Amino acid sequence: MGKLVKRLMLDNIYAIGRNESWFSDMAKNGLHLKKIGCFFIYFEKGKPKETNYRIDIIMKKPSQEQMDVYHDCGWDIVANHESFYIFSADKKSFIAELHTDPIEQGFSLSDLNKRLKNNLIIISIAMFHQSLECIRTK
Amino acid sequence: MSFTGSPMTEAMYYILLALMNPNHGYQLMGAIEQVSNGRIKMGPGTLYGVLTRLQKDELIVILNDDGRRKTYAVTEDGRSALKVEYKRLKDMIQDGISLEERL
Repeated sequence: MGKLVKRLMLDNIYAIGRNESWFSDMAKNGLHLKKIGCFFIYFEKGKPKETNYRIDIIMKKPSQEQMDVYHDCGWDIVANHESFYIFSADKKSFIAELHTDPIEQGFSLSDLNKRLKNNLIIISIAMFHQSLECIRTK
Repeated sequence: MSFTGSPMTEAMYYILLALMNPNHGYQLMGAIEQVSNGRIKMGPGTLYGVLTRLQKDELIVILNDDGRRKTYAVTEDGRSALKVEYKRLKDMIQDGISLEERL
């Protein structure tokens, strides 16, 4: 394994297209995406390579069969952060685009949006409850 | 997003159509290409996104899961939804038939 290089994550993971381009640019310079943390992204030093990256939103942990089909289409999982799964494909052996229907891709973003809204409601209720407790104990 | 009736996305229509014969992941991609006369080369992300949604909406079901691969098949609801969509597409073609004389 090559040396790991840490970079501050300048963009939110939700900036899907920008992050995909950034990972490709880094791979071109010999830094290949390895791991994603909350604030930092880790790249492995290696040979410069033309690589495509795609960020897919998968709400349930993908099965081995699903990963095998992705692999057979040239896409291998590199890292994941919550529901965001990052796949890479060698530009030379590129077989098919990961998503071929933008409307269907939009549905997975809608599911993510729904989950974020639900989380926001839960956090708001919890904070409201906490505030009430504070007022009561004063 | 739950399926609430027509229109279907192209990916959804072709997956249901291909699953009239039960099939699994990678072979299903080939079946879609075949049933669309080579016009549709579906990406794996789209395929599994649609399969998950169709399962949630009970338009397809897992017929067999041997732990290594799952075989999917269309349900009665899926068959009905496909018929409704097919009629809608046929009607659209019928409505536009006058174009053939003008173009």
